Amino acid sequence: MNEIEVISKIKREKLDERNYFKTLIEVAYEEQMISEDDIVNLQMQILQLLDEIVYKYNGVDSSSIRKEIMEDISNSNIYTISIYLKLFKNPDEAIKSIKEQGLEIAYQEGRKKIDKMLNIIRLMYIKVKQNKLNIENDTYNDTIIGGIQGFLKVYNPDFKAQDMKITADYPLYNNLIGKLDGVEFIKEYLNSLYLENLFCKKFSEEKIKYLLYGYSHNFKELIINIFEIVLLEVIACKLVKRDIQDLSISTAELNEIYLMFEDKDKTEIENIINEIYKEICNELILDNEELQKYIKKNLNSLVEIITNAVKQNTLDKVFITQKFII
Amino acid sequence: MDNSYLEIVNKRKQIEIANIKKCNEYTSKYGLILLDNQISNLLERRKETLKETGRIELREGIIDKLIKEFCDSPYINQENYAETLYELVEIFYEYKNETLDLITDDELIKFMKKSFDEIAQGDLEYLSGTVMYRMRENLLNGKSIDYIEEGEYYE
Repeated sequence: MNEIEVISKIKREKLDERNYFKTLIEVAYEEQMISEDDIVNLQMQILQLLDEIVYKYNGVDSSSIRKEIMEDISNSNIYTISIYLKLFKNPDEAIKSIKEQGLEIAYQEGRKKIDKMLNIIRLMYIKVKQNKLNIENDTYNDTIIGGIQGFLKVYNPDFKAQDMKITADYPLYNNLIGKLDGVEFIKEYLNSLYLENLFCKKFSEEKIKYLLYGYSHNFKELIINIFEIVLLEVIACKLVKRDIQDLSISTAELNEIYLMFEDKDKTEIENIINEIYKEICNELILDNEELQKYIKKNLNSLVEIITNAVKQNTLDKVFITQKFII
Repeated sequence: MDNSYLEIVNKRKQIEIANIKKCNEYTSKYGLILLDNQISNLLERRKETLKETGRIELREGIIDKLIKEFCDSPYINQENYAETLYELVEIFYEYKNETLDLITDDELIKFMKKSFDEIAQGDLEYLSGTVMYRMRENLLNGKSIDYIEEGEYYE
């Protein structure tokens, strides 16, 4: 039976994840799904909601508020409404919902969804702590132990739902900075971290430590992504048909890779890396589909790194050789 | 659209004017009355002060609270009434910011009144520059707002 395809006037991919509400309204207006009167009506509802939440913030103790706090609360309200609107797979339905039910309901529903997300985040945090690598890298450990915990302590979904000022300094393979805010950011960050740890756990921690030492003697203090370094070395091992569990290659093998890529353009290198990726998935029995997708998603950035390194003759900075490993 | 934002703002302003005018009934027993143009000036001054201090006022303002608190001051008469209120509004918002909103409106107004009548003896410059500044220091250092060390005097 053929699946019935629901045709949506508003294309989800056209909407900005960080400015979801604003772009949704803009596109809906372009598509003549809402009128100017509707927009004015929505603006009034936003102001009424703001008045209500600011009053909740201030209580009866103060009749005025600093502008920046007001702006924070306003952004928080819009963020919360967006969380609800994103629940509709079809953006047309989201527009229909706010037209019929109004923004107050959208806000209340968004607020409930944030609470649910916070519960999921708490559970994910426990899982991440459980599969954490025992490797001395300050940003890695500080983020997992202190940063996320700090977020859970200070996060204020009522007045600063969009906030993500946490010590998530540890960079991910899947860079999220500038892509998401608030609970959406933390949820995605934790999920990515969990998948990265899951992958690294397939290798000996001792070997990872040697690899990082080879990368830099100061790896403890460096802001690096452990997963990416490990993944690149696994690719290197696979390219020279070495046991990937070694997590190291010799200088001769590095030259071998260099010769392999020397005359190849980016597309050719990309094809080779894609094949290697499949082999790695099979060999490591990566049955976790999410993890497979996670690696695949940013494989292009690794191809970019390798292509540039071949051109600049700096492949030794990408694939770590044994000579550095003491 | 029946309910435009401007209409709401104007309605709010009218309510505020009516509230201040209502205060005249109460303050007249102290010989104090605000004329229509003085009320307009007061609201305009408040608007400017809010802009300068980067604050936004919500549903109910503080002007009628200031009026009711200060109207029995021996240092206020009909001649300096409006001008004093302009200054008090400025001092109020400035110190709402300076005290990082740690002090409630009522506490701040009561402190201002007590200091204006007693230590400052009606001197607004002294109130704003010295007494209020000391109050801020006390508050931010975890002391009581009217704390003065033994043997110490306001300069």
